[in-house]
Amino acid sequence: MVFSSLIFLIIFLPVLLLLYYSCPTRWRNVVLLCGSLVFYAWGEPVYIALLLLSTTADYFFGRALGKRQSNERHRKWLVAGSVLINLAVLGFFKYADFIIENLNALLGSSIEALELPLPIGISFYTFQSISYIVDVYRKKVEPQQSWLSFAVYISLFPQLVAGPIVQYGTIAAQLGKRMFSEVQFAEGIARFIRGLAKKVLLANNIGLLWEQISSQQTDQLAIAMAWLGIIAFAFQIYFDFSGYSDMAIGLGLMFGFRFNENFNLPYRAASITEFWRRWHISLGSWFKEYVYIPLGGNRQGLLKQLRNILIVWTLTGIWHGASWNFVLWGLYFALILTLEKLFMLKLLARCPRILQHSYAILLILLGWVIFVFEDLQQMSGYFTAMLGLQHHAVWLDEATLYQLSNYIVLLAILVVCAVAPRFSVLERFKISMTGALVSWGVHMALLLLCIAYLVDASFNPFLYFRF
Amino acid sequence: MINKKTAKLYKFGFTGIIGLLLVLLLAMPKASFSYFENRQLQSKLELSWQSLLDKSFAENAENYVADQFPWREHWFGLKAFAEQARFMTVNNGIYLGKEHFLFEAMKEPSWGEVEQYVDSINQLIGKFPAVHSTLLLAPTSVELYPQLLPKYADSYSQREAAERIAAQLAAQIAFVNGIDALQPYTSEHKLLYYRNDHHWSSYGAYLAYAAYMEKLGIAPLSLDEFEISVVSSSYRGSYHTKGQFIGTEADVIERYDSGYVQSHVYIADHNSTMDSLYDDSRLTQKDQYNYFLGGVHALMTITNELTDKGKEAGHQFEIDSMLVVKDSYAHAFIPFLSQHVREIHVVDPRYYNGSLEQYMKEHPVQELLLLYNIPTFVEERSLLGLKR
Repeated sequence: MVFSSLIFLIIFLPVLLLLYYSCPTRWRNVVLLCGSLVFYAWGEPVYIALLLLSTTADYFFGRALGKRQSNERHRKWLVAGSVLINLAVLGFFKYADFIIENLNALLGSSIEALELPLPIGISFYTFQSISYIVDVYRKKVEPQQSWLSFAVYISLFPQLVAGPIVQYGTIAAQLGKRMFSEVQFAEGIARFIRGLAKKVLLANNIGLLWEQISSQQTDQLAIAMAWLGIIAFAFQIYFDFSGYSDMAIGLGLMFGFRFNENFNLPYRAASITEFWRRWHISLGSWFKEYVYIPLGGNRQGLLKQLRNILIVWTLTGIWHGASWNFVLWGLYFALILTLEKLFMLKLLARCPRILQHSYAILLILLGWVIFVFEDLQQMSGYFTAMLGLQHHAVWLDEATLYQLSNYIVLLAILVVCAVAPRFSVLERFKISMTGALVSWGVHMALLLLCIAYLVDASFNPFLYFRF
Repeated sequence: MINKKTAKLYKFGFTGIIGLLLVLLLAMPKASFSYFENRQLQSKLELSWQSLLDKSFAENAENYVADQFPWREHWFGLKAFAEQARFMTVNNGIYLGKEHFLFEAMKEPSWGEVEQYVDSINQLIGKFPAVHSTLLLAPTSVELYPQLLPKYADSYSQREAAERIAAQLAAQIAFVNGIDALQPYTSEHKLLYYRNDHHWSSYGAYLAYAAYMEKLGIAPLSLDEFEISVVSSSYRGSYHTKGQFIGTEADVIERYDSGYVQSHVYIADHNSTMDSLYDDSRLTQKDQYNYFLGGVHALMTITNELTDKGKEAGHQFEIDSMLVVKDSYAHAFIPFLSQHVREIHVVDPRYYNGSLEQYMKEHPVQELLLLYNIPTFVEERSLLGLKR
């Protein structure tokens, strides 16, 4: 199930909230677990077994790690075993076909692809399990003694499907005992509605523009159109993903959990280093915590550090999908981050702000082209169009003007929402009582508008056919 | 900012909205058909282990919630309003043009497939050398009123499409280009198309009829031989339904009567008859264009006879029997055709299950007319039932 669906919004959520808050506190974890499993099973009933099996295995690994505090060798074996099992599961379901395909290409063999559907959220929950096991091993956190609490941690529906990747330590205490308050609940609602609006009103609509542009032949695209397209995609992926994180964080609050932030206005970055501190923060910190630092981080000389950057970014790339373009995308950022570390940051610091931002945005946009085209030929075709290197390149055509005239208002809204400039007048107004009421009204109006767009998505007139 | 006072408002506002919608969803009567969209709605849910495991239950449940959503059609309107408010001139593929005109743009056809299709039409008709055959291609409104499209909006040239098809047509098949027949009249006050629908108006159909008759060497009836009456002035058709724009104006449906002929219609689909080319009951429904011929049927036979008035005026049928293979553009056209043909067979291959070739063998006719609008002709390519 996804948050931005009518069935979630008007059936699953109200029913679960009602059950959750009408039962005594000690039963709430049971309700939450059952709700989460229904949520998960909705899209893929079979893989629920995998989720429960992996959860139970890691629960026992965690407890075993807790018991054998004396024997260091045993503990090493346990943590290695658990991490390997998690990686094997992830590797099998996510990368098996990719490996087979490449083996076939390389060796000329013809091993048949497995074509298994990807278990939903597997990239996220295996990473959460690993963070738990490693933290227990490092004695940063106590092993969870209750299977129920651990199962709630792994399967918690707000973050199960698309993050944020919640490290166990963040919510360990909340798994046992949660604070509930009306203000927190209301904050959750507001956050959820803003996330829903980001997804439904902003991401989906600008996504239509990207869909139209990307479905055209790249040699037909005017230069401006190609740029407009990738800008549209940059907005789409940001508002889609950060909207999802907002909804997750909001739902967490509504059920009594406080997750960490996952995005911090990434397009305000003045360098790529800064961009990655603002974009998908939970993934970045996971790789830092469980890959970069264990490899030695930056404490063993520049050469080792650059090697570590390379490893982390290759993995970050491939984590986004089993395809070469994601590897390329990771390497692209590894290269930029290395250059920034070596000299670019110092150089940038001497440039005017506007230049720093332009530099960052330009590299981010080029990065999205690598990200979005799994087919390398299409990718190079799109780059060709952006650079105007095709045969009869034009800067601007009627079609681009038409799209611009249609999307100009939305684009303006997107820029404002992505950059979120602060005006002191507005800030002062917001804390006044009138401001609070207006803000409430805006949130409710956004909710109704989101519902309208979701209902409209089912609008499917068959004007000619009835059979 | 959320404080203790506004927190309550958020709580009641949010849970109130989603809770109320849930209650209404459960309590409101279920609709099984949407006249608005002209399709079946998901109105039942069956739960079984099988449907749970193959995910069909999840899919059906999602369709169910969407299709039975409380006040469903009002939400469409709200969305369309928001789209219009952000200066979007296209909604669900329909363009909001000037002078209250709505349009649907044509996409570039996949020419390889169209060429194959025209070839197979040539072959089929080649088997009936005795039948005089004509292809009449009608433009849709977007071709004739390009200046009313939103600025910079583009549509594939239907003239180019029509000329390319004509060039490939076998010599045996006569061609009438509807664009040439209608274009000279676009500046007239009288509209050739409905502004809210994808069909041509009776006047547009009349102009095409006149061109077709001239091609056959028959004198068409002149406009002043018809008594023109307005049968509806509240018509909002498919473009309106799809586009949902606010601030559009309803269209007028006109009927042209010469009084020379009386028509009897036999509808093979459900073995029924009508004594008129028009079905008044359709005017109270959403899709009022179905007034003509009572809407889409797979197979009809229309028998025409002269009335006393027709006999007195010395009117005569020039053609004894004719087969019209068509899309719904023919519905407004056939009343004019009926002035000249004693027996008209009407086949809509999109719904006709039999073989057209077989039908033509069993029902030999003098004259064959293929009547399509250009986008339907190139996109659906259903004429021969090749897909079956």
